[in-house]
Amino acid sequence: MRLGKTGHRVLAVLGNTVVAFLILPILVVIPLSFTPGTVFDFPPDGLSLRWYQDFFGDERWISAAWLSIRLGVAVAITSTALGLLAAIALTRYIKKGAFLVRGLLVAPLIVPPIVTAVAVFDIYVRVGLLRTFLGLVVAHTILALPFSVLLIESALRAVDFGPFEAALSLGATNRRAWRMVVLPGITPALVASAVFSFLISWDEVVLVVFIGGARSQTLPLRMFEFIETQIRPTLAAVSSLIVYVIAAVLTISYLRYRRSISSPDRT
Amino acid sequence: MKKRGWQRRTRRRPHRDSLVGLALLLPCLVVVLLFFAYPLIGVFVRSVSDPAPGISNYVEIFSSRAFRNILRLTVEVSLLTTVGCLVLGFPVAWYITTLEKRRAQLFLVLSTAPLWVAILARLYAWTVILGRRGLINDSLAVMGLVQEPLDLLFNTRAILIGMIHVMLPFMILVLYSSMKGVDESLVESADSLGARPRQTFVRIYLPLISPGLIAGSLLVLIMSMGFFILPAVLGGGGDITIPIYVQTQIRLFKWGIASAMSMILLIVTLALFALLTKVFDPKSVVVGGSRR
Amino acid sequence: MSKSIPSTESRSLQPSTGARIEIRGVRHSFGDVLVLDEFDLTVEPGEFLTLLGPSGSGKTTLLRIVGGLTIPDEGSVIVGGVDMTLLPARERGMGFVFQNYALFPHMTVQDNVAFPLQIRGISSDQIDRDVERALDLVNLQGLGARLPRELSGGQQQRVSLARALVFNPAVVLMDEPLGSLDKRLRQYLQNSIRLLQKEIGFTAVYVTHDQEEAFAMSDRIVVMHGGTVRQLGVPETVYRSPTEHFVADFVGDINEIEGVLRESGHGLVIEIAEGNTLMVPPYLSRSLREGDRVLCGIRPEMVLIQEEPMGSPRLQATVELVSFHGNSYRILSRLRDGRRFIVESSSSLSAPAEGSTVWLHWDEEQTIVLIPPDGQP
Repeated sequence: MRLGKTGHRVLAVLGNTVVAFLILPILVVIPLSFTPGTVFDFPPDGLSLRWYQDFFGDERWISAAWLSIRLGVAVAITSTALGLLAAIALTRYIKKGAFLVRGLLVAPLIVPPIVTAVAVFDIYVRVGLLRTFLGLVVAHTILALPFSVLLIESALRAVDFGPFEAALSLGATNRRAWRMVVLPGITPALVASAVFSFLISWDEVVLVVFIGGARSQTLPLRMFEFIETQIRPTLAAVSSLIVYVIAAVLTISYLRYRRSISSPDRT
Repeated sequence: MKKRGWQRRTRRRPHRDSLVGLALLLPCLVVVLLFFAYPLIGVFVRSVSDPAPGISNYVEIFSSRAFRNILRLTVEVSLLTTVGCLVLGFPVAWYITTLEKRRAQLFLVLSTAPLWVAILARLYAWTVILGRRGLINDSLAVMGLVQEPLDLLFNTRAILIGMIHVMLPFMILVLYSSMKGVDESLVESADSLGARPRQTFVRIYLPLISPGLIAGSLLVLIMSMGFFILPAVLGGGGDITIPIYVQTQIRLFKWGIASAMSMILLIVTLALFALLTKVFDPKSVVVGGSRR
Repeated sequence: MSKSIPSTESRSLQPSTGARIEIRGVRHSFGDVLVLDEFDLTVEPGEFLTLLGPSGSGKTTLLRIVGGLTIPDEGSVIVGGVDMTLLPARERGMGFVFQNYALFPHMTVQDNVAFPLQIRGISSDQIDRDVERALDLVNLQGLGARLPRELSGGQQQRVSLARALVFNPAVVLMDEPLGSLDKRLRQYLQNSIRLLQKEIGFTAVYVTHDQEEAFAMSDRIVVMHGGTVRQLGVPETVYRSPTEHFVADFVGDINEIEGVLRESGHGLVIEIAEGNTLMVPPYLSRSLREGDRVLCGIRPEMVLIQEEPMGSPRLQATVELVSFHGNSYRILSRLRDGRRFIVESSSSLSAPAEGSTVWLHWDEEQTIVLIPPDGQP
C-alpha cells in the first residue's frame, strides 16, 4: 500500500533512519581501528595501523582465526555432504516418518543455543570430545544441518525431472543422467548450504564457550574472552577486518544481482 | 505433488528403498541423535534427578524470588525487544515495499547486512559506542553537555539496544515479505469503493499483514529469550537472564538446577514455536489473487 | 444454462442515470514506453462500451485513468460534466471490478459488499437491506456468511460485481472481469452483467481482449492498438467493415487474398485470382487508382462450398481437412496458388470429402477490402 506524498516522505525519513541505526554502529569500529591511542578519541589524533599489527603479530589471534577458518570449512563440507544424503533420502526413499526425521534434523534450529550447549557439553565430557577439533566440527554440524537439509531438499524437489527421464530414455546411464540433469539443478543449493554452514560455524560462540578451550580457541571465542577482559582497539581491527570482508562480498553479490536482473536473458 | 522420474521408482521396491533411505540418513541420524537428542533427554533426566529424584529443582525455581526475577527479566527484555523491533521494523519494511526494484533490493541488502557481520563485532561496536569513554559520552563531553560520563553500558537498557539491533533484520525480513504479499489491487479496490487511506490501512492492509506481524513477533520473542552472549557482554552484573544463569550454574557444577532452568526455557520456546507454526498454517494464510 | 438470470422483479438498486465520460487528449507513458497517445473518447450516458485490444494496447491503463487509479501525464477525464482528472479514486464514486476480483480475503461476502456502504456512513439497517438486495441481484442469496475463498471463481466475481454496484455508481468500470473463468460461465455472466446494466442504467466501460465477449455485450466497441483508437463502432460494423488490417484480423478469422486494381469498361474493379473481379467499395473508390494493390478479406462463415463452379466470385480449392465443431464444420482447404483458405459452414449442411475439389463462392459485397498494412495505396 502506498502513501500520499507527505506520508511517503515521513516513511522515507523513518526508513532511512532505522537503516542507519542498523548500519552505522557497525561502521564505528573502522575509524577506531586506525586510532593511535588505546582508547577512541574524537577527533582522532592521527592514523595508525598498530592495532592491525597487534592482530597480525599475535600468534594467538592468528591461530584463533586460522582455527575458525579450518573449522568453518570442515563444517561446510560435513554439513553439506550429510545434508545432501539426508535430502536424497527424504525426497526419494523415505515416505513414512519423513515428517519425523525432518523434525528431528531441524530441531537444533528451534532449541535455544544455551540448552543445546548444556546437552552437548554433557555428552562431550563423557565421550572425551571436549576441547577437540572433531568435537567442534560435530557440534557446529548439528547447528548447520537444518539449513543444509532444508535448502538441498527444496532444491531437489524443484528439479524438473522431465529432462532426467528424457536422458534415461535416450540411453544415458542413471549416474550420467544424474550428473547432467539433477546436479546442475541443485548446485546453487549446495553452494548456499556450504556458505551458510561456514557462516554459522564462523559466528558461533555459545557452544564454543562450553566445549572450546585454550587449545581450541576459535576467533569468536577469543573475541568474547577479549571483550570480557579488555577493550583494547585490537578488537576494532578484528571487527573491521570482518566488516571489510562482508562488505566486499555483499557489494560484489549485489552488483552481480543487479546485472542479472537488468540482463534480458532473465525474462 | 507429482512424482516424476527417479522419485516415481520408489513405488516398485518399497522395502529395498526404505533400507537405502535409512542408509543415506544414517550419518545424519547418528550425529543428531547421539550428540543432540540423547544428551537433551539427559538434560531433562538430570533436571528431575540431580541432586535428588523429584521435582525439587522446579519447585525451587518457582518459589524463590531470585529465580522469579531471572524469569521476569528474561521475559521482559524479550518482550521489549519484540515491541522495539515491531515499532522500528514496520516503517522500514513498509518503506521498502514502496521502492522500485533496484532500490528495494539495495535497502534489503543494507538492512540485513548486520546479519552477516560476526555477532561479537557488532557487540564490540556497541561497547565502543555506549562505554564510559565511548562515542556518545565523548561527544556529550566535547559539547559540554555532561560533566560525568553517563552509565550507558552494562545495564538492562544496553542489552535492550543490542537485542533490538541484532533482531531487527529478522523482523524487517518477515514484515517485508508479508507486506510484499499484499495484493495491490485490494488496496486499489478499497480506494475505488470510497475508503480514505486511513480506513484502507486499518480495515484492509493491517488485517492482511497480521500473520506477518504475529510471526515476526513470535520469531523475535523466541530468539531473544535464548540470547546468551549478548546479555553477557552488554549487561551488568545484575542482569542475569535464564541463559546466563544456566551457564554460571554449569560452571559451579550445579547440573540439576541448570538442567531444570534449561528445560523451562526449552518448553517456553517450544510452546511459542507451536504458536508460530499455527500462524503459518497454510490454510489460515490469506492469499490475494495475483496482479496482472 | 439453467441458472436464472436476474429478472426485472428482483430489481433492487435504484435505476441510476449513467454519466457521460469524456476522455480528452489523454497521454500516458510508463518510463520510456508510451502507452496512450493523444487519446480522445466519449462514452454516452447509459452506454455499454468495450475497450478491445491485445495486451499492451493501453486498454487497462485507460480504464485505470478513468477510475482514478492512474493519473495521466496529460489530458483530462470529464465525468458527468465534472473534471475528475486529478480526483483520487475514492472521490469519484465509480464502481471498479478487477480481473482478480480483489475481494478482501479476511472479510465475509456480506462484509465485502457492505464495505463501500460502511465507508459512506450509511445506517446498519439500510446496509443490511442494500447488501441483501445486491446479493439477490447477482444471485448469491444466502452466501453472505461465506469467506471469498470458499466460493467458486464465478461466485467471487459476482460478489465483486455486487460490491461495485451496491452504492449505485453512475459509472462502472470492469477490467477483464471474466478473464479467468471457463467459457460457459463466462457466457452466463456476460448476459447477467449486460441485463443488470440495461436495467440499472449505469454507464459501463468494459475491458477485454476477447472479441466474442466484446461483440456479445457492447453497445459500441473501441478497438485499441498501440495506445490509439483503431476503430470505434457498433459490433456489427467492426466485424463486417473493419477499417484496417489489424482490426479485421483481431476481431475474427479472415482469409486474405491479394487483389490489384484494374480499369474495366465500367470503372475501377479489383482483380483477384482465377480471373475474378470485385467491385471497389464506395468509401475506397476515391483513394484507389489503377495498379494499386489491396487485400481482400473473406470471413470463413461467408463462404459457400459448391461441388460445381457456380456464381462469382469463386475460387477452386482442394479440401485438406474437415473438422467438426458441433454447430459447424471448419474446412481447411488449399487454393490453386497454394494458399490456405478456411471455410466455416453450418453442420446442418453436409461436409465435403477430404481430398475433393470444390469451388468456394461468396457474396461479393461481403468482401472486406483493405489497404495492405505495409503498402501505400
